[in-house]
Amino acid sequence: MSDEAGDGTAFIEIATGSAPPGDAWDELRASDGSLRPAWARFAALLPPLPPGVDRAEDLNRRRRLLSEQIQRDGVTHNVFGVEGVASRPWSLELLPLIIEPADWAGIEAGLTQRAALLEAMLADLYGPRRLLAEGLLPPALVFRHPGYARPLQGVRPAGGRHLLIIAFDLARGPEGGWWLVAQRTQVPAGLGYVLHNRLLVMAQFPEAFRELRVQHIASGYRRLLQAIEGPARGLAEGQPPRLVLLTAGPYSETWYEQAYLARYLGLTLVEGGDLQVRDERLWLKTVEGLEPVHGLLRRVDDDWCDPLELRPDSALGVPGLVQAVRAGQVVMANALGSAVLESPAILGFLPAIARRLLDQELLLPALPTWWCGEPAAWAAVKDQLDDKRARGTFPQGGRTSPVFAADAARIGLDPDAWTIQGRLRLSRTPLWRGRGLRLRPALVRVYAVADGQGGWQLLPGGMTRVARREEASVSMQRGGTSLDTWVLTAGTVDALSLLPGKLSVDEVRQRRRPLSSRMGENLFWLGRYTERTEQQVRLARATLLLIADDGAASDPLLAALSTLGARAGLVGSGAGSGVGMGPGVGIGAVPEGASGVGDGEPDPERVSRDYAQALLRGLAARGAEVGLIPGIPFNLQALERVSLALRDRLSTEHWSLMQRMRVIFSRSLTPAEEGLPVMAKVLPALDRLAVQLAAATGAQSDRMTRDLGWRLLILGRLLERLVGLTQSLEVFLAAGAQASTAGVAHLLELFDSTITFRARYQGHEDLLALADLLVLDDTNPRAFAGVLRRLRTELSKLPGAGGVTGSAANGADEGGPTSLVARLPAAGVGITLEDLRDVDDVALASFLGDLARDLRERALSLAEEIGHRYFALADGPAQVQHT
Amino acid sequence: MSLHANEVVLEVLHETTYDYELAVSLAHHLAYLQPLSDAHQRLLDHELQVDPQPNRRRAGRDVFGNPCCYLTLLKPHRRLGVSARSQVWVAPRFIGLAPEFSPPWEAVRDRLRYVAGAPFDPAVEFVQPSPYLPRLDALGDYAVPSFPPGRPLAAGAIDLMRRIHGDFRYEARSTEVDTPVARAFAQRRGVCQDLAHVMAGALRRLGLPARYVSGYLRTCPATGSVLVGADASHAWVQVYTPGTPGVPADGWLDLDPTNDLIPGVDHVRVAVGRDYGDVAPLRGVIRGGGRHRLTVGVTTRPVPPVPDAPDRSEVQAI
Repeated sequence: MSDEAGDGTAFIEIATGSAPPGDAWDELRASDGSLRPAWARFAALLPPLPPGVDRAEDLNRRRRLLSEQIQRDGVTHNVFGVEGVASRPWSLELLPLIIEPADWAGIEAGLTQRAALLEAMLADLYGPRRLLAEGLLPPALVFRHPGYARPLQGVRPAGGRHLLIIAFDLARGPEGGWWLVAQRTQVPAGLGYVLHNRLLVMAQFPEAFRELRVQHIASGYRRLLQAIEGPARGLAEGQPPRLVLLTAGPYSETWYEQAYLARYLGLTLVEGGDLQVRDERLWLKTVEGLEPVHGLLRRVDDDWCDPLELRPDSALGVPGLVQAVRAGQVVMANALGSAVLESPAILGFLPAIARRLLDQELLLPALPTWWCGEPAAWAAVKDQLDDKRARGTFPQGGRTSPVFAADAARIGLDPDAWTIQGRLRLSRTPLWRGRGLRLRPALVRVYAVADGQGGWQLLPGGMTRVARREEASVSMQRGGTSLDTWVLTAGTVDALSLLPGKLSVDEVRQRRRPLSSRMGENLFWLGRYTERTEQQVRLARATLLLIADDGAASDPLLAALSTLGARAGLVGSGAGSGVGMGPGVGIGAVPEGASGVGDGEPDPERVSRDYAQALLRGLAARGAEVGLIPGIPFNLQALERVSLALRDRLSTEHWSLMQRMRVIFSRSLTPAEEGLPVMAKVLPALDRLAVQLAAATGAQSDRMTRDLGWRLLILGRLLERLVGLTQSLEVFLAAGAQASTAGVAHLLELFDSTITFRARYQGHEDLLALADLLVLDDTNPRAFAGVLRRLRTELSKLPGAGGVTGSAANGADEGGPTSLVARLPAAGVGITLEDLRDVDDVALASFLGDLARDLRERALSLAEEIGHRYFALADGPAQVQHT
Repeated sequence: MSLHANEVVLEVLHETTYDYELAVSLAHHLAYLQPLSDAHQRLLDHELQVDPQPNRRRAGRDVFGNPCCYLTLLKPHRRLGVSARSQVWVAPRFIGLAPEFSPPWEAVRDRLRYVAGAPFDPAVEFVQPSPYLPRLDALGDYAVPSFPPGRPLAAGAIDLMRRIHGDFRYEARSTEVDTPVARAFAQRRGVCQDLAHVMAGALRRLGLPARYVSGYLRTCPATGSVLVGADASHAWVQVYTPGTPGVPADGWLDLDPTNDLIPGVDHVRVAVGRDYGDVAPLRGVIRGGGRHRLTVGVTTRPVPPVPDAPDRSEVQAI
């Protein structure tokens, strides 16, 4: 138990000293300086202090915990600037905004009424257009708004409702009343952050959270799911409906929360390219073929959703989507064309429209709003602009309604494009900072969700945003910060969690999310890049150690290692690995044979020194160089990119490791001054990277569900391993490098088989022994036979791959089902130890070289075939044509 | 059918071919190739042939009432051929046009300004800027000399058409379909699409409704022989001038700035919209394909009984 009186006193002491400017409403204290009731109770319920720690230290520690957790979870927010997209950690405050039950009741009544009004308006605008005919809404607000979707005119949405979720931005004015500032109708953002904020802040103040009776928010998410699922059920012909979340991709502003929300709601996270319209229906391209999609929660703006009938320059959308919508074959949250209600100018016309459509007066006021395109309104307000601000009536450059200082001359040039709004002095809510509280202006985003009965419910919570500085504008894009929003109830707390009650078999089946072709391809390449990087790390280490040990190493071993280095792209003058690059990767071909050794008869010492330099240069590549050298930095970059897209598929630890490896590696090599990193830094960096990669593969092996996605990842890794190992053996044999003790040691190192070899053949270095352990032994996970055995196992479990049917193969199998497994030797590597009896070493070396080359070719063609069969649907971007 | 004097039946053959470098795996197209029908233009026959055969084809009508056709191709193809053959009866539309008796231009402009509770005129949609026609002050400034205070709207618009025809050089292939109107205006040259955009943009900047018309122009070279494929689709403008003698009840008057004429029986309307983007003859979104080569040919000729062909040697189409 905490010392309630002491805590409360301390909190009040902390609170004094900061006062809101002017007449702004103080969320923390009443006019007599006492804490408002909810804050007094909050203060009394603060967690007990550890001995010797004062309240300020405790709050600081909690604030630190919060930001560490955000870092760990990888919660980010992409910020757009002149330099492109930067990913920033999400900013969350320790203290919540608290809303008392009576305030919430007023907000609830006001916003559910407004939600109903907005739905009625869209039904009218895309239907009979009475509002235009009767002069209740200026035509310019519809016809000039890029969000007015002409192709949807006259189209009734599947399920009958245009809006399933609406976000309202609210603020509390000086008198304590709430005002509507803006409404978001097309792709309301923030629900993922709201959830994450809640989990983090609640954990810091569990007693206060419980005792204040903060309303739980899970039921709001469940309702949203039901709002889409309900009408989608009618389209699914008796099957459980398939719902997806349409994202603009990893570079959208709120990518993290989209992925988080998709995972929480159990929706498949898809990009436009993952979907296809056929027969006026929507389909998801999965590795098992096309799967129907019945409902879509979208985070792609209206006009970007279909390049055929909406914005033709959109690469984010789904060509033909409007046709599927028109045919009533997909439930959209929200309907295309709802952006038209986001214009701030609309707010000024709502009172009259509410009377006309609902026969009601609006309960919750909006900021006073004048659309300058109405001559009477503009005349009334143009001489009193000082205490007002101007907003763009229409979105500009992708941003919604930018805010400007009101300038009569500028507005006069195109009055329709401008809307004047009264300024509201926002209420001040406390943030915890260092040694005390700071009061900052707050804006609250509240979500209304459609219920199944044609009504609306508010999600009892929301996202509060505050400016970091007094008088700065409140926006996450401009460096604002967010608060959890605690809505208190006088009644009982709704303790519903997202998935109460029993799931049916169908529902359970439905929750196994299908694997989109794009995700499948990303997982396959995650496996390939991980393995490839591991091999390169091993090769780089071995080479550097050899050169460091023996400055004049000029023997076949150095030749073998440098050839491998060149082929792997560890040095700039390689031929690439010759094994293909992942999705979206293109590198210039580099001529083969320029590997730094072998040409002429240069000074061996110089050769190895030059080679070491080239190797270090490759390892330290950064910026544009990375794309030119397919070495370790390149592969780490590829891993970062591929895993970014896999945000909702990988565990948080695994994902964040993949995201960090490149930066950690690059930082650890950064030389003090211009120039190459020193060897003393490189080897530890490679060692650390090796450990991280081992952790990553461990996470892949042990912690991922053995589903199709995992299988593709493992296949990617095994095929890459076979390619790398066969290449190593072939090059060693060609150079004769296995003939020396050092050569054998290095070869074993590349096969990660040193310990077994030494244990099994103490002291022997016979080629036959090497052939046994590195080629024939199918219990060695890095012998050819061992890799082939696992490949056969996993390949046979692929849908349609075992020669059973070609059903899954996206039509690529039309020429008759061919077994992928049949492309490999039926057992082992195709030969046995017995076959090698009486073969001399020269013949054996040549035989093994041929075998290695044959297996590598098979692995490469198999990788290509897997891509062809399972990822063929994940094709490139659409092209738009006009005649 | 028997034709009255000045009426004509035109046959239009509009052929579009895409040759793709690589196979196209999936294609969605939207065609605006079927001419409109109204009191002065009747569609007698229309056939749209697509090769390869689309997996799905659905006729529709867009928000402006234009007929359109959705085509979906799901089988890989290296070539797409779309061929539209139409027979259209055309009668003179603007008989007895009296531009000087149209309403003052300011009256039309002011009537479309929003006042709470005032009646709605759908033409107001065509005063607004649109994707290909942003609000450009330069276009408004250009139009001003044609619209002194109180000038009858139709007379001002015809004057504007005449000036554009005089000031702009028609030049085939001087622009692309997506050339911004600002560039075409600055360089004072373009194809029919650009001239139509310039004129519509100028009218709108003054607050006057203007539509973009996609259509065909009768191909009648001076030699008298018909050159198949020598032509392409045409574009012109409509201005909203209700209450003008000789303009049908809908209030839209067609003006062809490329040829400086008021369309009679040589023009076939296919679709009307805010700008080219609304009514492009054939738009598509494809997967695959690589680069492509586009071939378009349009032939518009009278079918018997042929009325006397006027000397059209000055007419330029595209």
